Amino acid sequence: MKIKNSLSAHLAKKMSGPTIVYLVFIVLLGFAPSIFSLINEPFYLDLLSRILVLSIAALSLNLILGYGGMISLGHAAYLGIGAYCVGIPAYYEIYNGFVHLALAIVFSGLFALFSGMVSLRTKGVYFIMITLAFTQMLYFTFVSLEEYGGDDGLVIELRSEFPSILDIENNTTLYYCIYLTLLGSFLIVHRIINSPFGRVIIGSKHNEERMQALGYNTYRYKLVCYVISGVICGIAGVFLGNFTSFISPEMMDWTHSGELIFMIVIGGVNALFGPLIGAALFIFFEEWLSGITVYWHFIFGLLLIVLVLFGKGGANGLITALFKNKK
Amino acid sequence: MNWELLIIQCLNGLQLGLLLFLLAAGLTLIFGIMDFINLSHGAFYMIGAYFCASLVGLTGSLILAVILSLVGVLIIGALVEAILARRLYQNDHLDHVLVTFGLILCFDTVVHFFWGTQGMTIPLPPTLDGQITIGSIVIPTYRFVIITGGLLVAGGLYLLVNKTHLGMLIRAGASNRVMVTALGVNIDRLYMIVFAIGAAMAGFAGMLIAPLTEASVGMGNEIIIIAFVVVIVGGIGSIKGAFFGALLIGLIDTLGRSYLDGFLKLSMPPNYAETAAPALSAMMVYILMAAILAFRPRGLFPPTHKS
Amino acid sequence: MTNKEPTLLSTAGLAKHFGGVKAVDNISLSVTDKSVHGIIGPNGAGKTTLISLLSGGLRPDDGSIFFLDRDITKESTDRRAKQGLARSFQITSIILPMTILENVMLSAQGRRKHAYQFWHPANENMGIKEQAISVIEQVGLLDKMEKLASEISHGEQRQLELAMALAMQPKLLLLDEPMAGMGHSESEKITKLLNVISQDKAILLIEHDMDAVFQLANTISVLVNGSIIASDKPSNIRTNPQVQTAYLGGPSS
Repeated sequence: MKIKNSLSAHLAKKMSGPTIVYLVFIVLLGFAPSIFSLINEPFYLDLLSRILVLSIAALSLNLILGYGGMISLGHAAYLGIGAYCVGIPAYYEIYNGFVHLALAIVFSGLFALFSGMVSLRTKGVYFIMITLAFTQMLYFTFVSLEEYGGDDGLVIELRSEFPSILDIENNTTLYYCIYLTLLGSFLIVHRIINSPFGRVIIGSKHNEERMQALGYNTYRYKLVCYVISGVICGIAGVFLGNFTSFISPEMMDWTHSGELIFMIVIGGVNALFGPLIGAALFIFFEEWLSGITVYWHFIFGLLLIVLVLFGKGGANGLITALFKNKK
Repeated sequence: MNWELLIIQCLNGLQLGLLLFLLAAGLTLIFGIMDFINLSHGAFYMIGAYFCASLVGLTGSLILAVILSLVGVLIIGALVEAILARRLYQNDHLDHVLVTFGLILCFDTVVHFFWGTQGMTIPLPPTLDGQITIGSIVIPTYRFVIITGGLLVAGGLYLLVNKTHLGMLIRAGASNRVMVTALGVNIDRLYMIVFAIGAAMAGFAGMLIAPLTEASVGMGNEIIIIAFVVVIVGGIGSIKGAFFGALLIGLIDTLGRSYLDGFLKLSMPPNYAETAAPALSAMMVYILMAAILAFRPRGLFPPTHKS
Repeated sequence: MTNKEPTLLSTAGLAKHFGGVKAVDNISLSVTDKSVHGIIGPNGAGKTTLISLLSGGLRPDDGSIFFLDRDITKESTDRRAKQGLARSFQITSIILPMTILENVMLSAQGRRKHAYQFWHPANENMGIKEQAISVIEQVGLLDKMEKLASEISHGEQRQLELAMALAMQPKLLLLDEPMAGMGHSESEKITKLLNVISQDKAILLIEHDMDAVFQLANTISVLVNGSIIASDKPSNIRTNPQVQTAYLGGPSS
């Protein structure tokens, strides 16, 4: 009883209105499969799985973009790496999911390390373009790999296997896997941004010169952050590969990197839960609008422009404002 | 060594380079003067191609169609500047990326709406559709048209930037923005002119390429990335850099695609070379960019005095 | 005031050019421990350039810098800071979206070996927090500690700027006009504080407030057009005719 009291007191002290809204939303996500099977709409689970995978990707991008000020226009590369780490082993009939995950972590980490070492030496426009350039290089590498389908991509016949632990051929199990990974990623990012390391990253975004004068090798801190972000996104890629069962270099197209940024901005840059809300809204609008008209991209584009011009803070800004008005 | 093939490939490279220059020149000025990242610059390339294709059908005259389309793209460029871009110069780069990404979506859909998903080609008059034979080399006449057109525009831009009052302001703006503002120049108008001229050049590139590849939705999205590479390699804000950067990238890309295969076979087994060559040649321009930035972080020809 | 304390920092023939302009030209100076070396000079004399050269923000075109008997000319800013060289900025350079406490904690943490700690909340790092709070108290911002750096007044931002340099617990402080933008009473308070600090630290002080400089400094160097035209005890500088013509605007009382 005492523990419970102190816990609720702790919660009440620390949590703002918006955070509670987000947490309720996240708890609801945990019940989603049961709800969807109750109303007999299995397609919704598909949609929601996609939203959660993209949330993980957007969350990882927000770590470097929102908190670290590193505007990468090449983050879709890691989704591709993760997906191919499922597809290529599967091509050789290696279905062990732990192998897939390990490969994804290693390769996305290495790609982030290598590309980060070069791109983090630059700033501003140069950084944006170099991150894009690295992803283009990867894109063309996979296009030229005829063995693995080249331009046409690969079909993944079977999902990753986690023998005697999990069977993610079952859509609900896969959903919970993604859900738990998302929760884990939230926890990791939350801890990171509040840790001493995170402070250095946030400080570097706002005043790199000062951070160096304080004794921080900002380049190295940013590089570590860049690698962490890449690895998280690589894991999201493993789920994306399992989930779509078809992968192609097109996944790494720069427009998809742009979409990830789009999601962050809809949700609210610098907001922990922004990427989740953003990805949800993005997919929701995509499904909804594409059902109405083939010209839905126009509305999307317009939405993006209006959002930047008038809607600073995205959905998170809106929710926060609502709570402020109540008080 | 097959010299005829080499010459033809060099002409191909020159052609690609000049097209890239037409795109990159506007980009680099918009970058350099307004500090604005315009991902949607490729849309002008697409619009130019579609305008021209439709107008050739309507007017029956290629020249008239080109002139009218140029005016059309010029106006659209000026409108985009006045309505949208102008509000964003003070914002950070992320906002530029987002808004112009949104613009791409809008432009692509508008073109899709009016012209459909089917590509459109520009029919060439017989005089331009032939071939020219020099010695044993046979080259399509139209290739010369593209090269001549590109060189003429480059020359015109050179004169404009170096010999006119407007050009003086453009140069000053690219190297020192604060100074131009301090000179009491009507900065809004200068920005609009630069943006519109840049758009028109991109549109012209689209018109030049359309007879070869046809106009299609999203045609600018691929090439604009290479044009960005040109801008970075050449040095942001530098027309000279854009010119030499574009030729360099054009040649390297074209020659890489045709010769890398053979070159790699000198040092590795043929089956490996055949796998590696296409990937490597597609990546070469990006590798070049990374290498150049490693040694010259501000590109090959950065404008002097950047404040 | 000549003391037997060891030399902490010295430069030899330090030079920096911008285009054709010699911002800093052939400067050789030294700072001994537990003393204040004041640098004065008219605007544009190269004072801030000098600080940037010493702290590592700029690379010299010529000459070398020694700190604790080591050549640090080619070392990066963060390496110099880790060895105990702290600077403050003339134009306030703080992390605006963080609180005063968070800002100072960042700098208190900076001289530690590293901050690759990813899991534990930064705010609960008690050792660092106590150290930061004591510095905040020293500069007189204790009651505003939890305020965002963007919300406090300009004078308070200047105090924070100084606190960030102090919290690094440096061996040598490079202070670039710490009193600029402060009110008179704050300025006096900071002068007193610097006086206390200089009992066990070395300070290189650039300051326009002449009262403060002459009150604090053991040695004063006069910088004009990038060169040091005189370097001496305050009392001698005051009467140096060369200095008076070049800087103080002709002989005066």
